[in-house]
Amino acid sequence: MDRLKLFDAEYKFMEIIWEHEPINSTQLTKICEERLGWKKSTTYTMLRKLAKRGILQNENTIVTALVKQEEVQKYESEVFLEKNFAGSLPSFLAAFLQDKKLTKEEAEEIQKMIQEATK
Amino acid sequence: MSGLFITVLNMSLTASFVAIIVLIVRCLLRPAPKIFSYALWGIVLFRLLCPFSFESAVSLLPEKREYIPYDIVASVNPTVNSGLGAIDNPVTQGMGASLLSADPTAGVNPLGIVLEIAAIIWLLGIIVFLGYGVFSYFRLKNRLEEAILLRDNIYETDRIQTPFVLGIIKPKIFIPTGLTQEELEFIIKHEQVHIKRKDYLIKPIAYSAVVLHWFNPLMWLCYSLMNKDMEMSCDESVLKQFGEEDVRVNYSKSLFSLSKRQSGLLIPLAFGESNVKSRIKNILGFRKPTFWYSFAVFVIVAAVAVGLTANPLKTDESLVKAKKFLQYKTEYVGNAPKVGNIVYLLDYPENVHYDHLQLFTDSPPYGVTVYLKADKEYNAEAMQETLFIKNALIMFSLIGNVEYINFDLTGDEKNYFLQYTREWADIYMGQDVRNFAKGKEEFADFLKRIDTFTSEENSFLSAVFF
Repeated sequence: MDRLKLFDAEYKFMEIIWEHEPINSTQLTKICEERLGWKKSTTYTMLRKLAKRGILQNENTIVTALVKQEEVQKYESEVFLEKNFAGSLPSFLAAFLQDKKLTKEEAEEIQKMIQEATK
Repeated sequence: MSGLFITVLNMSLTASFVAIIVLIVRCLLRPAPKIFSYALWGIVLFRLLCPFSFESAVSLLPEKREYIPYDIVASVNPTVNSGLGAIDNPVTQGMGASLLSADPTAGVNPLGIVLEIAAIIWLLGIIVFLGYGVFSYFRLKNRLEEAILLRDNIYETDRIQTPFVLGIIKPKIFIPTGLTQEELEFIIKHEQVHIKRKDYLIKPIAYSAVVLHWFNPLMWLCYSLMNKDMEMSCDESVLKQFGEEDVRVNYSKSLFSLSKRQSGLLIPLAFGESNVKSRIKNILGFRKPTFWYSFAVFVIVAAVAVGLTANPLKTDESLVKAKKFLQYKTEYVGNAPKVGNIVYLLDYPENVHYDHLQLFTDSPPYGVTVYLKADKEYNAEAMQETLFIKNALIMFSLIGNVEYINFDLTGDEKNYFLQYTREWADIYMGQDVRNFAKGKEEFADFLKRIDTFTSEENSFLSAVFF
């Protein structure tokens, strides 16, 4: 089930809720500020987002989880990032500002360089 | 606005010249600590942002400073003076070929229009690039909202794959999740060096400078090379922190494993890793430089920095002027062509023009009368005697046997007649004024000296008013 995949931050956030539920949302913002370094608005945005996905509910400022910790797995974020950042810039600019991804040959070359230095 | 654009064009040309020298020096400094190469980019940055500098004889720049004159639009045959003959000719020819020179008979100046349009395109470019920078900054910041505090100012998030520093006032270190303990140690040390050296401020400043000169591809190249030097010198600083312990291989491995997970993340204002291969090469080959080696490189870099920061001395204008005057120096007031040329070179008050000359050469005392005419706009109230004093002194010093000099000014309402004598001139200057005309340097000094005279207090000894 797709909705049960969580990003790292989402997972850590849920961990707090599993630990403390049911919890008052004001209190939750305080814990998040302390443990995650989040602003109030970040916590509320996260609450809204996860409530929409049916992972938790926020009824009258009381937050409870709708899924159990065992049901959830962490996302591998690689794919997500590629989709969002690729091709957002004219190529001539990218050539100046962006690092090319290492090619296979380059990676092998670097590997060799490091190995030689280790000897 | 085209005036501002010309200023930027001139700065761009100076910066390009500086950048080429920096590129050469940077090449020679390849084995040296990278902090020196990094420092050299500071000069280019200075040239990109500051149109002024001090003047010095040690300047390495070509003599001519204003490459594109501000009145280029008005000139009949526009030329570009880069101080480099080889460049000027094709440029000027190119301009001629495109028929851009101002035709005095035409109502609208084509070069003026081209310049106006270019200035507008330039401004639009700035808006686009700056807008892109700001947009990507905030988009990234938004993405990092959910980053989780690790400790101090270090945040962890799985939304990024490469570590960087972000923020202007309170810079924070962002690292991707899932780093090993050893990787973490190196990366955090690296980013902390960036923060300590205020690189997170330098980078946006450099980006702004490049955006201001976005039309100059050389500056984009400089920007990317500066980033490379910044990262490499940062790496070297990390290695030094470990002292005797050799962490080169482990540090390289950390960098390498990070680069393998790199995404296409692209933010000009944040710190990403760049040029992994050359960085690893640099790290593996790093040796702590000896004191004397560093010192020698420091001296070279400092010399280059001073030479490229300083503007060349302006050619001394009074020397040029002195040369012009001295070619007409004569012993006799009867030498009408020479006296005429001297009088022609003199400065007169606004709206007053030289008309003709009368020489009194029959018997001593010999004299000369300079007839001047004033325009309708001529303001008699504002007439200052200073210029006449200066003119008389110049004439007495250059014309050997003249004893008195008259200026006869015909205006619409009032006429003026001023008379000066050699006796007055000698007393005024404290010596025989002819001594000043002995050499170029002396005469230039003399011109400078009489230039500093002000009007009020100078009339006490001077002329007879009629």
